[in-house]
Amino acid sequence: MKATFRVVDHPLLLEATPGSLFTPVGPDLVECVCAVRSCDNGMGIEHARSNRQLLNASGTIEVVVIACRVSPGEPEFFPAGFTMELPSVAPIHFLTQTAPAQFAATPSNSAMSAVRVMPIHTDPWAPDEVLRSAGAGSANLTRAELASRL
Amino acid sequence: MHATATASRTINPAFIAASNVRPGQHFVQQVSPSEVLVPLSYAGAPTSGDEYTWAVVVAVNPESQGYIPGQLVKLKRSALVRPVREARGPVFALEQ
Repeated sequence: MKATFRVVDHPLLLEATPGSLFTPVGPDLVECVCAVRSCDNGMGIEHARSNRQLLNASGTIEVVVIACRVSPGEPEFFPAGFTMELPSVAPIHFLTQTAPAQFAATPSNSAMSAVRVMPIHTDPWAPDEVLRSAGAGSANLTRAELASRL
Repeated sequence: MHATATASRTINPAFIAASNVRPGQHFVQQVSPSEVLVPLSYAGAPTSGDEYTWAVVVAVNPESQGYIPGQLVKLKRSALVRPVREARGPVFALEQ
């Protein structure tokens, strides 16, 4: 049987420097933008692990989730700040930021308490029309964008 | 990653103690508002400590100096911080 395939030479996690952004190829954090966990030791910013640990091929490197491509409740969602140890030889994709994030102040507690919370009606056997009229939406877990890579 | 427009001047939300920020909630420090942070969490569980708590930098303004994404920041649990919400998400492309 004749096969045709292409070998992609991915960078490895141990090549990531503090501050660089990347997404792991898999199997963990595949929907996340990650950074190497680093700290300021007073002399500059460096990996949270020693060089000896980084050079050990069987070692692990701690990474931190910076952002996630999917929303809370969806498969493979991890919140920002989530920390996980990955093998130092795990393949990754380096990322370049093309548009900045924007943040706004959250409303004060008094304004938040004024928001009226509507009850959510769920019935797994009810037809979609009934759920829609009750104010509940449905999630399509077979969305193509969830299965795609960046 | 880079961030712009950290906070709106028209709304004056209450500052809260750093220990009251839930995992995944973005916030800025009162003393240094040019960096957006989130509490550090292990497998969804918040880090615990006596007097201090840990956060991680996720975005910085151009005015920020010496901070990078992924950097740990040690905060007093009583330090005042301002929760912020993500108004627009960042966009990334694969590096060639």
